[in-house]
Amino acid sequence: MALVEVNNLRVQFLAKGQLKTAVRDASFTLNQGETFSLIGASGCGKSTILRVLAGLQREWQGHVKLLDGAIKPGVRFQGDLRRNVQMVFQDPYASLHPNHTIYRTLAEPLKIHGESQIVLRVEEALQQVGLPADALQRYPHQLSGGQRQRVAIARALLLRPKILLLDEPTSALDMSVQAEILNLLNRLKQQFGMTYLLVSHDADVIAHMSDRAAYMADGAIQHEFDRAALVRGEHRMDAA
Amino acid sequence: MTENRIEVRELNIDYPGARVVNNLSFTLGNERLALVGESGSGKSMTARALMGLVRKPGKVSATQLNVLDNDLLTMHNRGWQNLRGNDIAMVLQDPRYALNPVKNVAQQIDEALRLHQKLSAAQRRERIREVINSVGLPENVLPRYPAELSGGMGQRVMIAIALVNNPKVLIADEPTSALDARLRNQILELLVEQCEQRQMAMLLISHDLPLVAQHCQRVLVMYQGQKVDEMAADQLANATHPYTRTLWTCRPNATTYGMMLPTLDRSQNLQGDSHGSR
Repeated sequence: MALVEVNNLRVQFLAKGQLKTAVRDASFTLNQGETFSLIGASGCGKSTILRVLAGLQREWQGHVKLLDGAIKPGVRFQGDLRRNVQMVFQDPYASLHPNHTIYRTLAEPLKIHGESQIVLRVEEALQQVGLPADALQRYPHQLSGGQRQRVAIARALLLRPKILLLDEPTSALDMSVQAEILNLLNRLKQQFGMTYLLVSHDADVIAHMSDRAAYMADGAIQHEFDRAALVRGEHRMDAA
Repeated sequence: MTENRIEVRELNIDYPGARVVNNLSFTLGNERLALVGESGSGKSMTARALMGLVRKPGKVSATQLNVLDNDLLTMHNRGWQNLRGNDIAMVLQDPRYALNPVKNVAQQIDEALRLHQKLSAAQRRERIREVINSVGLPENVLPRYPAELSGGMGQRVMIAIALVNNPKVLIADEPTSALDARLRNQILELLVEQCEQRQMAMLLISHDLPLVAQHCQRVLVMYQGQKVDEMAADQLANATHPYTRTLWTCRPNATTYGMMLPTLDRSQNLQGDSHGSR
């Protein structure tokens, strides 16, 4: 079943009085339970697509079906969409509020959605991502980069989303910490049956994580790769 | 020739409450040596000690710390000025922060030349042109400012600044971590090529063991401020130390799909973060 259908998506920004097209023409589908990846050089528009699907970039053209219904440009996400689509950002140093304790950061989405048993849920989430309970009283600067990314993942998972948007979740991390985070993502995906849309420029990460992948350049999807093509390394566009 | 350009014996770097480098010894001849470890393992601090850039309250002590027969332990400001940027140069991680945002490329390369050489303006212009070509950039980047450069171009400019005085030793501190995967090999190949052309030794610092192993002759592995392993780069596949093995095998690829990647057992040192890394 397709959870996301994107057809002829186009995103344009006004930069210095000029219209800049970040995404020219993107079409793809994301099926229930799979990991689909977007690969491409920086500036090719892959992060912009994630921002559209997260409801952060509200000006776009085209047709986007997200979960059960179509979303419209210029309209804020309402109701269940705000719970079911969550995003993990690239830089764990920038995506956590520096003046909020980890507890406050993790409790916020639960409070916003009127959940009960907040303390219990937060402690459980922390445990799932392998952080010690005493991290709750700490501030982001008192954690290492890998620990911070775990907090960001815990925050995204607290509302039990159906889709997790991962924008370069490991590119700011050490190689050995990257292995831990990728293992964590794969374990949680199995446990909760989630669907991942992963953006990365690292061909090795893509090959390790993805069921399918698409190569983007110039704001358009150029090729799609199935698992067999990924194993053959066809998505390595270094030579191109 | 087997002269040692860097000699480090029993180097310690202390901060109040934590020792960030502990009893480290190594030498660097005319070769490429990789210094590998996770963040917080002390590899960048080692590089800073070699450049005299450990700030207070940090304290450097060693039984021997020599760069090109200069004793760094007794070196004063004037000596550092002569050495740094001239005989030993450094390339940093992120060109967006390491370059001066209000000077154009030509001015920044020129600054390094004027500090260390007595050349006429015309000679300096010629040297700047030479070095910018040797790092694979067109001359039209010279009047540009760092904000007008891409990450890969910025990194090449930083390399050009380091190379312009023909240093004997180049320290590259994570020169590729801020770059796209596809640019990483290009930059490392450029560094290796320049090392060979200029008979320059390189200390390459990285957390990506498989990547640097291709470009270096020897590898030194650090963990929590200590050297835990040292070997020839082509022997890494046979490494026996568990930490080296994890660093060597934790890189994901197509054949690891659906499998868990090897990770470190951190259970013996969960409280090891006492100096609040970064």
